[in-house]
Amino acid sequence: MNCRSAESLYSAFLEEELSQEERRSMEAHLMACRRCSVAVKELKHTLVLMSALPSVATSPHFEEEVFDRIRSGEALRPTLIEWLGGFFTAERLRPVFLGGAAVCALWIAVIVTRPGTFAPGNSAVASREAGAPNTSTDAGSASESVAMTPDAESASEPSAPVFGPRAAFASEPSAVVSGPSAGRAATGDQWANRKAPAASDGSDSTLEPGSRFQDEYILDQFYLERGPERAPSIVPVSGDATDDVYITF
Amino acid sequence: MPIEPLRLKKLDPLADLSDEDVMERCAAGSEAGFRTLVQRYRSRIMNLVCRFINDRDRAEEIAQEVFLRVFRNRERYRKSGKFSTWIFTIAVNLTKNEIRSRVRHRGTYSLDAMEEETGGQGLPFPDWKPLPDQDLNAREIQHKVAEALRKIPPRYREAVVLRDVEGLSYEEVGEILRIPGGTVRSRINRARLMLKDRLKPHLNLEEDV
Repeated sequence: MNCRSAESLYSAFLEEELSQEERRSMEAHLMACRRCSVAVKELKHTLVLMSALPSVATSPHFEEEVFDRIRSGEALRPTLIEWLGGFFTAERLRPVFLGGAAVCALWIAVIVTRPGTFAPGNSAVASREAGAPNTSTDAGSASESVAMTPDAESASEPSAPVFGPRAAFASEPSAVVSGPSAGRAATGDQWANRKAPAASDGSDSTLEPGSRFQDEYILDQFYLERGPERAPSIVPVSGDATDDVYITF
Repeated sequence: MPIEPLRLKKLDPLADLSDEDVMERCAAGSEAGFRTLVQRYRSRIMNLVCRFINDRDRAEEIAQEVFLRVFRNRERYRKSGKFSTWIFTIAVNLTKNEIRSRVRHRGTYSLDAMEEETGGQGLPFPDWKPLPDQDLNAREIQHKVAEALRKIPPRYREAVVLRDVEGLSYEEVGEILRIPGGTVRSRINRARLMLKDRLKPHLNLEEDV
């Protein structure tokens, strides 16, 4: 036994909690090591001093103050943690968990038996199937969709592409723009007019290949980027890739 | 003189009952049962809290709060566990909350600031009066022990106070602090070594202890 391992057993030695073998080993070490022997004596004396610490008395009115606080109703007001602890008991939570488990099981059953029911972008497909005018992939439909009425806009809102896969955006570029842009055009918002001169006045011709230009936020969900980049996630706005106006996702 | 305590014992029907039995009566609505528990534990709880936070007034408030919580949660108490473990757990948790709240408000747990609150006198003793030289020396040593106790880290202090001041078993200390038995033993041994180092100048090894 070395000093380090002996030190960790000082308390157990003094409290006679060591096994016979450990005790013999410890005693042999203490006989040979003066430092540990002194340390054990000091520790023993420390314990005596600790046990002689006087207790701190309560005030004479302690008991009555406790009962006064109980009679005043203070003791009956639970703390927030106690209240929450009482609320979230196993008995109360059991029906909640069972209900949640039942809902999850039902949802999984629906997903398994009718795959695609809750697939992302499905609402866009549904609205296209219903004949919504703004979901056409026709190149000319972009300008047509800009002139949509607010009613048409609200009809197409659920098909906002933010929640759908990128593949869906690539195949339906005009659907991406038509929802938000149409409403804004109808209410006089001129964001579309701000991009229009850049695309139509020939200023694009001054752009250098590979350069990046100012982005314009539309709905905090996607933004227009003018430039020659052609990443898979960048979709031409008008279907005419030559005007260098894209939407990135 | 020795007759008086015997008569008192006979008058108190709860005197022979264990803490757990008294608590059971308390849960059933017995005010006498609750009073008995307050009388049995008030000094121990006060002592424990005071050794932790070194602020007598606040310690008394916390000790009262401990009993209010015992009363409030009397129906939740399970007789299978020891009452002392339960009430000490409440006391330790409330004291830890107090220390946390002080750290939050002051940015740090300043022992010096705590000492200022008690006027640098450490814990006040109830029977303070002029003493003969020998007693004065003993009191000075007690003050040094209390000071040494205050200056060791809280996690070691709480373990050693529960064991050496309150006299609880290692198992009870582990249950109250929610730490395994090996950790309890190691913390207590470490705390005692820290105290020994701090008290070294005051240890009289010539006495056969």
